[in-house]
Amino acid sequence: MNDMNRAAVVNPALKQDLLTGFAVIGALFAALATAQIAGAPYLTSLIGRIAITSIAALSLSFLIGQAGLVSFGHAAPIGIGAYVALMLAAGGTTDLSIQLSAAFILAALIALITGPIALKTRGVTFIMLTLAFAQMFFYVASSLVSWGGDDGMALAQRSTLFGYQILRTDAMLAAFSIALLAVILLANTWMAHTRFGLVLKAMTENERRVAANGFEVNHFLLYAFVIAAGVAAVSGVLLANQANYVSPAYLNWHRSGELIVIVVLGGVGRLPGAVLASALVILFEEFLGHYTEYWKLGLGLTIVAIVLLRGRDLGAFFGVRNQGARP
Amino acid sequence: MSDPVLELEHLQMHFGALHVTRDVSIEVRPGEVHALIGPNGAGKTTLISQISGQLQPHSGSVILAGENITQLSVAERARRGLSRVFQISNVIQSYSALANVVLAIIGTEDGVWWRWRPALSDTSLADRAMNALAQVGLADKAQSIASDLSYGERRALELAITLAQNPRLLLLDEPMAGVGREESGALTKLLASLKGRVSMLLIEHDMNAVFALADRLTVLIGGAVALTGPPAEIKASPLVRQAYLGEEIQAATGGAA
Repeated sequence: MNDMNRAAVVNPALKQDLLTGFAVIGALFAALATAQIAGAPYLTSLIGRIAITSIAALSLSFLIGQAGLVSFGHAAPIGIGAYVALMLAAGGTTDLSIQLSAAFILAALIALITGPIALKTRGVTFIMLTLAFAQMFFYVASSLVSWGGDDGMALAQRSTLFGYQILRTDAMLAAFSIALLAVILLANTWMAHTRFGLVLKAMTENERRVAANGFEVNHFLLYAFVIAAGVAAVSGVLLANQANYVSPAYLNWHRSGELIVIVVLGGVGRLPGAVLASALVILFEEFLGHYTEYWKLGLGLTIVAIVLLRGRDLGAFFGVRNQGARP
Repeated sequence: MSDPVLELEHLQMHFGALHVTRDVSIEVRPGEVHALIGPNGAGKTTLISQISGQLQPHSGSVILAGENITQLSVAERARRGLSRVFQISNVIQSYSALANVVLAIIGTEDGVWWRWRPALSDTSLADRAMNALAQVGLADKAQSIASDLSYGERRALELAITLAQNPRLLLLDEPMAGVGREESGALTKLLASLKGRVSMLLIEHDMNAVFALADRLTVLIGGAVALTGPPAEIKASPLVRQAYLGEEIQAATGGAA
């Protein structure tokens, strides 16, 4: 009987989720290599943007899909990360090990303050509170006159890593971003299957049961909220480097909304789906945006078509499994 | 006699002007099945919620194995060995039966924050979970998704969830509610098999089950304790007969009374 139990408990779901993750990362690297060989710098920068947006989308997908928290203020930690990069670079601190840690820690600390307040509520009220907090940071950024105020400011110089100018070209920036995305994607996929992931996912369905099992629900949700903010700030540092520019626009609520669209399009909780959806939205913006300023109409129609077609979302369309502990 | 597992001391609670718990004091002794009965609206579920921590009494105390837990959260009480089976079936529907029990075991140990190995591949967790499932007769349904189980099986699963936590006290809030006649008999048998090993506080409307299981009963009427005693004494009490039991007692005792 014991042997049977053991065999039954082996978890092929994790293996499959990891493989899908590897495949998505591999595809991004392949696209980057192709762009380099074909000598298409424009595509290279596009791929960099896709990877950076994917990191932000992943952190939100984790928050919505695995913790059940719909944050409408996810642009805030991204913007905070970007401003950390801007300010540190202006002071001459360009090393990524410092910039990324500082961005992660600052955004996490802020989430540690706003989180417990927002987590007193759920549902629509939670959405509105996260939006309100993000708007506060938007106005704080707009009022930083010495950092460009409304207009923002150019980055003094791109970040470095241990003295190397690792982000010198767009291709290097894209490669670094994809590598970071890979680490975050795989860590997140793994996390979904740990004890922590199992508890977190169960909370999205039935908080009362989980509390009766002996878990403090809000501690877990706050932890997820804080981690998601930290990861979003990491994407902010890269975003500042990618654009060579930082402005309050990064904290605009449109950005938060766009991220939610990406997460929904990719399939809530489907981590590789978030990457695919980031790619789709950015490609739409670029290519359709060339022809018409109404490109969002095209994007909207596509979302509707995909949702109707598959009844679900883009991740399902491409056969990406819903992640997390559903043994 | 050893110290009680659970002591309620002078619990009081109001919802506005409604006095739902009036100076309730009850003891549950180790290993006993203590049934809480009373007509609808007597405040049974409210009382259970004050014991498990979903509600806070306005005064009085809840003492678990000598420790005053009145101010503790639901989760803290659960970690001290207070397990509740809800009136409405309450499992993680999208998880397998096994994962539901594994989740409960994780709740009793440290390491949820830092153990990084996949939880469902942890054989020691799985073995303990299978053990609990076997106790309730669900061993062959371990891999079934909870939402695919029958209602009675889900109640049994809830019991496995609580058993896996090695509870000091099981709070059973109408475990038979909504369960068919056949499954209700099986569930009664299951609870009877746990008798003596686990202390239980049982709320139940099914008088057959109550008198089959209970060592002592407390009758709650209008939020206050009307009477506490062994089944024979409760059945014999004219007060209880008049206020509540009447027909049901006669049915449970074979209609001869």
